[in-house]
Amino acid sequence: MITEAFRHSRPVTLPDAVALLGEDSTPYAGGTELIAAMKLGLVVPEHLVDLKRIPELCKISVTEHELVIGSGCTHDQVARSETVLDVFPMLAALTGQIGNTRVRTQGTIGGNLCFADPRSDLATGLVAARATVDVLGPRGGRLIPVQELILGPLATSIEPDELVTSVRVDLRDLDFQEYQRVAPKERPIVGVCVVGRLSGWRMVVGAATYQPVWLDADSPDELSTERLLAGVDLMSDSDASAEYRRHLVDVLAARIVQPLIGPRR
Amino acid sequence: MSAGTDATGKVAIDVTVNGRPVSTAIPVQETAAEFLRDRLGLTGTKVSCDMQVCGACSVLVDNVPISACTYLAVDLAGRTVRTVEGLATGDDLSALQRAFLQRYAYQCGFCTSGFLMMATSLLERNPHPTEEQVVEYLDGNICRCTGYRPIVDAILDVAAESS
Repeated sequence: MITEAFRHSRPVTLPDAVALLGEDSTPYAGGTELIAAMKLGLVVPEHLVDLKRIPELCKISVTEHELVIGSGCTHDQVARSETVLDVFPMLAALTGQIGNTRVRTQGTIGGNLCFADPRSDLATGLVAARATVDVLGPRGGRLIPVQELILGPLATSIEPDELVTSVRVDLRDLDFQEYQRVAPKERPIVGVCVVGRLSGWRMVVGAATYQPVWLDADSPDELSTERLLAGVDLMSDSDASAEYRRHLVDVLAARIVQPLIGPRR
Repeated sequence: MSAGTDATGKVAIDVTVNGRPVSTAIPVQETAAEFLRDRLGLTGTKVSCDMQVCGACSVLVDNVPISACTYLAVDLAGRTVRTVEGLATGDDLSALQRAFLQRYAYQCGFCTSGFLMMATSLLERNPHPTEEQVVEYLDGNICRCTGYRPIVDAILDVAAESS
């Protein structure tokens, strides 16, 4: 039961939504994280702004070299999108694994990123793809790399009066893309993602630290988990110890990287 | 733009539930599960974990499955809701309900309405799922009695019967 009442707004256009945002307002779409947190009394919002009925936020489009996904698209919508399946199949597969069926039909990619749960599949995959987000606020729009959006657990670099409106992925040279995870329950305890392009390779470890960590390299044989995790403390929680997470990072990374560099010498 | 809140802090919503139009005023913080069970008396929708992981409260909103425990009732405004009470036509059970009976795909029955709603949405989306697709679709629904086998079999029976 949610004990405290709140003001509730339901804008249908982006300008109306932005006009409603500020220090005392909490935007939401699927509510899969927010409503649960409100029931636990962890969040007591004064003013909820429902973004579900803004059609502009729910579109997926592709230009010659860029995939643009509205922040209000649900995980299920992304997972089943012919466009995404065609141009960025790893993202379709990744979003098709998030949470459970109902989390996927309600939860949105913008909500997932902005909630900034450390145990996110999506952030790991999007940092690997060097994705950016469009942010809109009263001072206009700006573009932020996903890796700079997520500052830590439940913390992002967007202001209270700003809104993530879409996610952009540059599709050029997205030659190799693979995500592997271990998720004994709804959320991953470790996710490892490798994306390779002409301009270089990137390995990301997610769900094991407060925010995704990554390593850029010129070739796949330089994608070393020792280098990636040097000086990085992994999380311990009720689902996995730091030691177990460290073990899983090596196992998942090897599954992705070994086929790329051939058998161990 | 702003949902109208009256002097008592209630919000007016219009929603269609199992084909029946409902117009009422509700507290803004009411969940869909509270709305269906306590306000409309549709207690077929169960609440167990109350944190959207067990699936007992699964209902369909505009034919899409949701966890009613973590969904605001105000967000039902203008939507069409289907609950387990809406599956049968009079005394005629739906094909899935009959298959659940035939396969004994329930024991205590507490999770059954959630499984039926999820299975209904799966077969509407994909009339001929593989066993793997059934298991994957239902992985957010928990049954502590049956071991799941008869539930999966019941759904596959209906899929096999449909042309």
